[in-house]
Amino acid sequence: MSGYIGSKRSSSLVSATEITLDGAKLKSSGDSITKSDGTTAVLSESGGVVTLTADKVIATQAPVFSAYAGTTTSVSSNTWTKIMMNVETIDTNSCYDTQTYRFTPNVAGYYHIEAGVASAADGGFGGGVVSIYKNNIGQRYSEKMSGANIIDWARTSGLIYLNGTTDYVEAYVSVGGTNNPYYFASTTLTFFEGFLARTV
Amino acid sequence: MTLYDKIMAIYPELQQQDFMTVIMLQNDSNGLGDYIREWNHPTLPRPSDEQLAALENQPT
Repeated sequence: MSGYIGSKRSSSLVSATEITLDGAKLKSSGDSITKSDGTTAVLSESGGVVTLTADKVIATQAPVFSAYAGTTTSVSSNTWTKIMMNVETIDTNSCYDTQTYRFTPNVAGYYHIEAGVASAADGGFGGGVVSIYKNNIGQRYSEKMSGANIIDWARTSGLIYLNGTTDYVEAYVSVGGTNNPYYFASTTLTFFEGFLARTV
Repeated sequence: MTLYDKIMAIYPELQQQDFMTVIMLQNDSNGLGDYIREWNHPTLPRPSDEQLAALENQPT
């Protein structure tokens, strides 16, 4: 497995005779160094493009995010509704969007994702269930709560592969109720978070 | 009247669990509202746009 660091057209490097990285010099295609952080970097050239590649993503580069719903929101009964997790508390790699409520990580790998939601209704509460969606398809569902309580709290989690470019995850909720079903704004009950468990 | 309410008005025999199993209504919180994501009910046909529109002005 390798992680991509970056590349440049060789024309911009023509005048350069070497690349210095972490105190070591890379001069030719195939040169590599083991950096002080434990990663190995390799210089390569193909078709006029010089690429520097790392062998792994270290923990401090792994995406981590956490967000919660800042607004109590009414929903239609028994309708899967994307939860507006619009307040982020952690977003190490700027991969979480508070406008679309979507996490699109920039490193490929297996992610532990977790979502929770507190829900209720003004009448005929039928319980709530939360789901983690990947690319708009449900991947993990919580238990369907009974609605016997005044408020239900549902929670689910799972390991989900995300490709580091286009794959994304979101949290959806379905609440049953004959009169104004809704989910609560809550920093501790209605949340969406995750982290990179390992690269592939 | 929500999409769920309209569907229940057309098919009052539907149960809440049907919306967890064979019928999937969705709202992507993007301002475009509720829509039928999947309709796999074994006996009841998917409501037409005309059927749903006819209930547009019904009270909730």
